[in-house]
Amino acid sequence: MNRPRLTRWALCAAMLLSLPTPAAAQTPDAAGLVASATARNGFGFDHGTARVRLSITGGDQAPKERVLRARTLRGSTGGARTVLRFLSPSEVQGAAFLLVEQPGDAPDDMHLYLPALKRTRRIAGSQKDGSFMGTDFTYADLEYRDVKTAAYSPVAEASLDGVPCWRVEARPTAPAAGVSRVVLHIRRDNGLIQRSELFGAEDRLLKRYSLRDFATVDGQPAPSDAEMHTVETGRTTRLTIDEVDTRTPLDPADFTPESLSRG
Amino acid sequence: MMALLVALATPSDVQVIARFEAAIEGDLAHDAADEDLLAASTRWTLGVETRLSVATLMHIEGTLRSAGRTPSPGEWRGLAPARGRAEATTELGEAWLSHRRGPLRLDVGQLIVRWGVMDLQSPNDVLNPMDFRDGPPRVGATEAPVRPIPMLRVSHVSDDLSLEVVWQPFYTPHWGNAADSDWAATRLDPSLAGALALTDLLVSPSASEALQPLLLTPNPPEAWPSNGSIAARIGTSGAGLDLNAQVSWAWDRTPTLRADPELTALLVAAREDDLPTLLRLYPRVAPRLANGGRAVEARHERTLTAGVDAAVALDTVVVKAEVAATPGRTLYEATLQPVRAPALSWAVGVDWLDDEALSATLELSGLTPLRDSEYLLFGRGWAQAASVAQWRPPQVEGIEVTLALQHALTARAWAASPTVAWSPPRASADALRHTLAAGLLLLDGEAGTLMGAFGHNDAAHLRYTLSL
Repeated sequence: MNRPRLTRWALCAAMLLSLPTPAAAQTPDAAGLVASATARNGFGFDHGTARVRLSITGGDQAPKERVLRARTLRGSTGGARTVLRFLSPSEVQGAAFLLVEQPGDAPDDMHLYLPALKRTRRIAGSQKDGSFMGTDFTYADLEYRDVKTAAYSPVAEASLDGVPCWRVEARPTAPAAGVSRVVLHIRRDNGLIQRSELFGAEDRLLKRYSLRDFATVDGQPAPSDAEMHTVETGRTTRLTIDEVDTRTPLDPADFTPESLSRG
Repeated sequence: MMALLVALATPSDVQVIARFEAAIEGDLAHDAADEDLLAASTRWTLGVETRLSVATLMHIEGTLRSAGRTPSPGEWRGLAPARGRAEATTELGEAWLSHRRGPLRLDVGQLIVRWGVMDLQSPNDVLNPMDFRDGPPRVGATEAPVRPIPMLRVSHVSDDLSLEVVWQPFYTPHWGNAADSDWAATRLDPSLAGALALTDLLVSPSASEALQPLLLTPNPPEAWPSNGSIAARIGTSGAGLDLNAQVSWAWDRTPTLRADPELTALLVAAREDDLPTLLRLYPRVAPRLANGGRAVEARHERTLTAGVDAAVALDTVVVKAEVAATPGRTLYEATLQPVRAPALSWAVGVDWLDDEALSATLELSGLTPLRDSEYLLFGRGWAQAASVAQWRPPQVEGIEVTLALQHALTARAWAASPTVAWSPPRASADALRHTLAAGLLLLDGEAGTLMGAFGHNDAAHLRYTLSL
């Protein structure tokens, strides 16, 4: 009769041991913390597909909305390959974008398929600083370029809207697009970036990324609702992610410039 | 031009496309005989793209085109008074199945496959025939200037290397007008016009457009699989560089046409009321044709073409280059005699993009015949600069300014096409999108150049677009 009781105790002990250590117990290393938070792409997964809705509001422009299908595959060499295919509205329908991460400091490869011209064009590396399809995100934002290759400040504890976070400051080692430093608030409960503020010359705030909501995908937290606000224009792009599928196998052949013309 | 574009995306992987476009274009100067003063066209496109399974995708679309043209009153076209014409045609657009298994992909159906890296003039973009119905391809055009045709493509793609093999089972000519249009091929040389003038008397205006490819490409290769074409391309992409090489064994879409010289002279004489010549030639030409003689002898040749192209990202620009070589392609000497000559086609260019506000492409391209002669349209060698710049001023919501320029480097010839488009703000993201655009097409050049031959076709157009 004692054996079941012992088993229950053993299970409870195992569960207790498997619980995460209280975050406040030790301050993480800045580089490791940032690497973990940016390990997956801006859509929150490194292998799978999702439907993404981009809503652009504010500023002196009329609202816009774009819906796309995002697919990401972790390549055999470690770099991720991401294909974004636009579903609506009609003026961008069928357009597709391929991002192939290159190792180290090498610029990533980017290609854009233009359905009206039936052409796939290479995009220059520094064009990453340009707007991603007219949104407040740049190509560089989607791959966290400014914070991945940067010098980091010591990690500090912080609270943001009542959410316990780690605060870390990143100064890009190869500054581009006028970004001089990025202040990150990373959630202590799940490691997602809660807020990211990009500062430019004279320490002027350029853009602010905010996490609005997240979901659990295959046991991993992932952003499901986030926004990027551009201070100068007063414009905000809200990014909503749903229909996440990380189980269906993906084929590397679908992540090449030649495949962009085929949905 | 007025356009209505409706695209519906369902939650699943099914996309329905319904698109309506209409265009109106006015001749800016009535400076040549038998020109159309006003041209209008409409185009309805319906299509669907759906995933039949994880591995199979299907796409099909079709278009109903209609066009009407009004000539200046009192003009003659060939042997008959110029008439207003209106015609309607239905066309199967892209229609294909795409199936993949691992790194292999099979595409079959009516396809557009564009090889090469240049945007404006691409020597290696040889698979699909061009659509010349609205004139030579215009720099800055917003649509691919090619027609989908039946073909089968097998591709094998890995991380580092891609290989494509394309088989086209049938010969497919370029699509253009031989006569009966301001953009007709016969306008390249006035003496050619007479050879086709009889079509104005014999053919209903509503059937004229359907007849044009037959007039432009007489005696084409028959639709046997043995008359197919094959091409292959191998490429690598990575670390900032795209590099490709290709080879094709395909029909030269420029036929060698030899018109009966006396018939041509006879028709020109009839057009110009040259009675002595008429009386001299008619007794010789009429019996010959009555006994089965051909008015036009046409031959089609296969051409072996090899090409390489590359695109490299350098800081803020992408630098591109292409070259294609062939041991024999059909060219016409200035005397209108067709010859087969080895030739090089080449192009270099740069793309530049500054955020969303400004983008520009500049390309230099040319054709260098490797047999010295004076050729129609190309002289002893042709080179041109072409550029397109697009500007979306951030201060003004919805404005897009496009300026497209072409300038010949080997002759005095140029073309310019400025366009301004405006899309007023939408009440909501789901509201219809209206776009109003106005533009000009201006071109001029010395005799023997493309811009010179069509230099009378300066036009202004107005376009309205409505889209979801």
